[in-house]
Amino acid sequence: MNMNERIEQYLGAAPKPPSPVGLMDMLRKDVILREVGTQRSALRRFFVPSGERVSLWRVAAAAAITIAVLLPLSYGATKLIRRFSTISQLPGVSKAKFPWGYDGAALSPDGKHFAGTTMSFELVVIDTSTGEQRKLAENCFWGTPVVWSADGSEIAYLSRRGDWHTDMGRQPSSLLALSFKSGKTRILMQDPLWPEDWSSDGKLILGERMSKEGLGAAVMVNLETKEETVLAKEGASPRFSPNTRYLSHVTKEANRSILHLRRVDGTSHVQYTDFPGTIDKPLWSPDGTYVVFVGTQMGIDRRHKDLWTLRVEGDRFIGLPLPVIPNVEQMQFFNWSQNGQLAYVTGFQLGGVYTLPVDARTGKAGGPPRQLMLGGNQCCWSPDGKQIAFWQKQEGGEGAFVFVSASNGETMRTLSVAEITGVSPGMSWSPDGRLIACGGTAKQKRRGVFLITVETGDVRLLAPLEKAPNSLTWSPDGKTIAYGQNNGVYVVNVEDGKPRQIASPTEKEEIFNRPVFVPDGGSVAYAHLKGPDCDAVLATTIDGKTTREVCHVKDTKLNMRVFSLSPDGRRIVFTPGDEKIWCAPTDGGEPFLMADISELGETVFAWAAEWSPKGDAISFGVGRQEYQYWVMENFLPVTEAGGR
Amino acid sequence: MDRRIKDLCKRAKSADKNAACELLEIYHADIFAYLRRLCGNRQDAEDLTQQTFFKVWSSLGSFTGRSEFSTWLYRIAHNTYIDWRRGRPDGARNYPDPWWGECVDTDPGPLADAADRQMAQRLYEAVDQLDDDQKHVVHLHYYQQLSIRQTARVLNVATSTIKYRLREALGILRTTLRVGEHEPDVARATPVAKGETT
Repeated sequence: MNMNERIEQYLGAAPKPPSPVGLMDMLRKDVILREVGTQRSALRRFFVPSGERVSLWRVAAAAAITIAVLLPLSYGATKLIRRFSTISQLPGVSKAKFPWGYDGAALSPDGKHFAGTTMSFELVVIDTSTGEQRKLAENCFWGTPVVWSADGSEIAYLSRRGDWHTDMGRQPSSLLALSFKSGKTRILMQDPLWPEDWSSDGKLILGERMSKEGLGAAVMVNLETKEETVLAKEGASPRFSPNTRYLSHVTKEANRSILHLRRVDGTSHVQYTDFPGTIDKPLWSPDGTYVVFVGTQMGIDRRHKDLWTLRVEGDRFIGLPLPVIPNVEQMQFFNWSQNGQLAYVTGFQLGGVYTLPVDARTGKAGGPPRQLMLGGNQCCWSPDGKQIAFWQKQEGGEGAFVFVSASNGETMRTLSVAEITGVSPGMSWSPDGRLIACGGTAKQKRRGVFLITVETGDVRLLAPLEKAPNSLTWSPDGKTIAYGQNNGVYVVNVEDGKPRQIASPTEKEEIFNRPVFVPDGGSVAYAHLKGPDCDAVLATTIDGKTTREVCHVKDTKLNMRVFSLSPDGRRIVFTPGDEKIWCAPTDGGEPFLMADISELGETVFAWAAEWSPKGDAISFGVGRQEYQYWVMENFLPVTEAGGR
Repeated sequence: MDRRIKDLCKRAKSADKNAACELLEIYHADIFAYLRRLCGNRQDAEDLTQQTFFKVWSSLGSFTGRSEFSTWLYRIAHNTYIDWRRGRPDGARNYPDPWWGECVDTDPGPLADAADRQMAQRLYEAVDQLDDDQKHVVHLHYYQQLSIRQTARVLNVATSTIKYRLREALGILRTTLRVGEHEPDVARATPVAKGETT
């Protein structure tokens, strides 16, 4: 019997709390009934209004209504039934390791292939009928949108420069078009945007471009003239109509969503502003007569996400939006192929933070992994090793640090830090226990190195920076903080807040990432990446003058890019991104498997292991994802006034 | 709908108190158990059961028989519980007593073994920690043995939503149990290095 069946058995066999003695008597006394008049059925009342004879006039009227109204309606019902019968799963696609069900994958125009980027930085395409998977390109930027050309002959994707652990992975190098048949690529743009759509003539690209303020502007680029038109400074999901005469996108103003419909040549622009909720991800139906979007509205005690449709005729919206599919909260929609299949993913991601006891002398696991909490994201150990602090967004959207006991996971307190709006990977608790250093973003879009007072939650921006830094680490004397940014390693003096770069990569594909102070406090260790892989951990003195190799592994598949140095500096623990946690001695010894967490589930992966200050445990994140990919037949009625 | 229940409903609608009492006899224990498990204490569960049936009798006229009587009844009980929770000073959260402690184990069935009972109790505790959406589905479908369709009707959501929530809840419960399950069996669960033997 598997675990699910056991759980179901236990739940089904749950004992029943007995009803108290006397409850039945009490309820009996409460029975107050009033007679409800017996009513004739509605049909009988209609056809026999007098209660005696059938009214022939009414029979004739009913027949007329049936022919004029009900028959056309039944046609709609047939369509509805057909719609549900043609929803089908793409099991072959579900098996692919797409990252977190990200909405960047796309169905080919003929619906026969599904393209997306994997966690291994590959562009893959999957045959939707056989599940056969083909790698088309390497070194692409995972989790970014891919876009098919209108004829399905090419796929546009972002090539990668850098590693996603650095700068949140937003370092694409170029937008390429890959020929689906020959596999040859050509450069579409050198300074690429986040592609969303590609015009049917192949000349225009729609997408989002991140501004310095961190806003995604909706832009349209002419690939021939390189002319760039900003559609909205802060916009989302720009899409061409199938005939590329029009485009749609969404903006948000004063907590209201505005759906825009523009002519591509700029001669007309209309807006739909009355939707009582949020509009997300508008998509054009294949015949160009509808824009379908995910609408979110607040219900009495919860949010409702439904799929809505709004008619479009030429450069006008017609009528009001209508809900077409309810409860789509668990769905993420990709795109609509020209043959009428709407592709989407449904599923969920679970995970949590675990600890693993470790023998500090040997570096080997000393017991089973233990879950500290469900969810959780950024975390760091207190200097005494008794607590772990997590960064979490609370229900109202405010950020907070949650302090849990490292021994049993019990929440000890929650420290609300409304000032901070986002924290980048890798935070660190000061050696004196007073402060937590983290990289992130605060209100008024301030970015940099922040210090949070553990006792009070006071926030201080120690070093303002253009981008949020990552992987912060305190020196053992508490006077310096090291961090990673722009592929390099920096240190900042806690007294004056002045940052200084100590290690800067020289080669194009080289990255120095995830700095960790070595125990002597004189140098900072960091992962040295060439491309996506890391086979060496280096250390540079804080004056930036001397660099040495701390650890080297022969097998490059044992990727050390996410690592942590033990407090005695004798070992590093690292997580290549699968179910295994590895440990490598820094004296040149062979790396060994510290833990395999595959027992926690079929699709689990471990990441971001951190040593406890005493070296007797590690904390690590566990992710698990279960997603299914589906297509839905075009369920919208066909209209003559198509936009094609 | 069961012919007998249908008949009792019809008679109760015609102000037949005996029929209403028969319906009470059939359903009151289930409704009490449902509310007891949800609201976390006996006294509140009694009050809520009373309120539920009061609403049932006062709105019996609006029950058209399109759904099953039991589904309609659970829907009223569910809404009564939701209203009660909204009105509580501690807002959305509740702190339930372990309801399983009150149950006399006359027929332990598959939970005859002490270890099984312990695990089941851990599971019930974990169910109490689930999100509301997941919790309601578990209570109705597993504890009250309603079908997925009935559960969907009670909660007024699509059956696909119920399936999704059940799968989500089972996933969380599985993770919770699996982690707890490893604790006593250190030797088996200790990860070993590649090539090593225990």
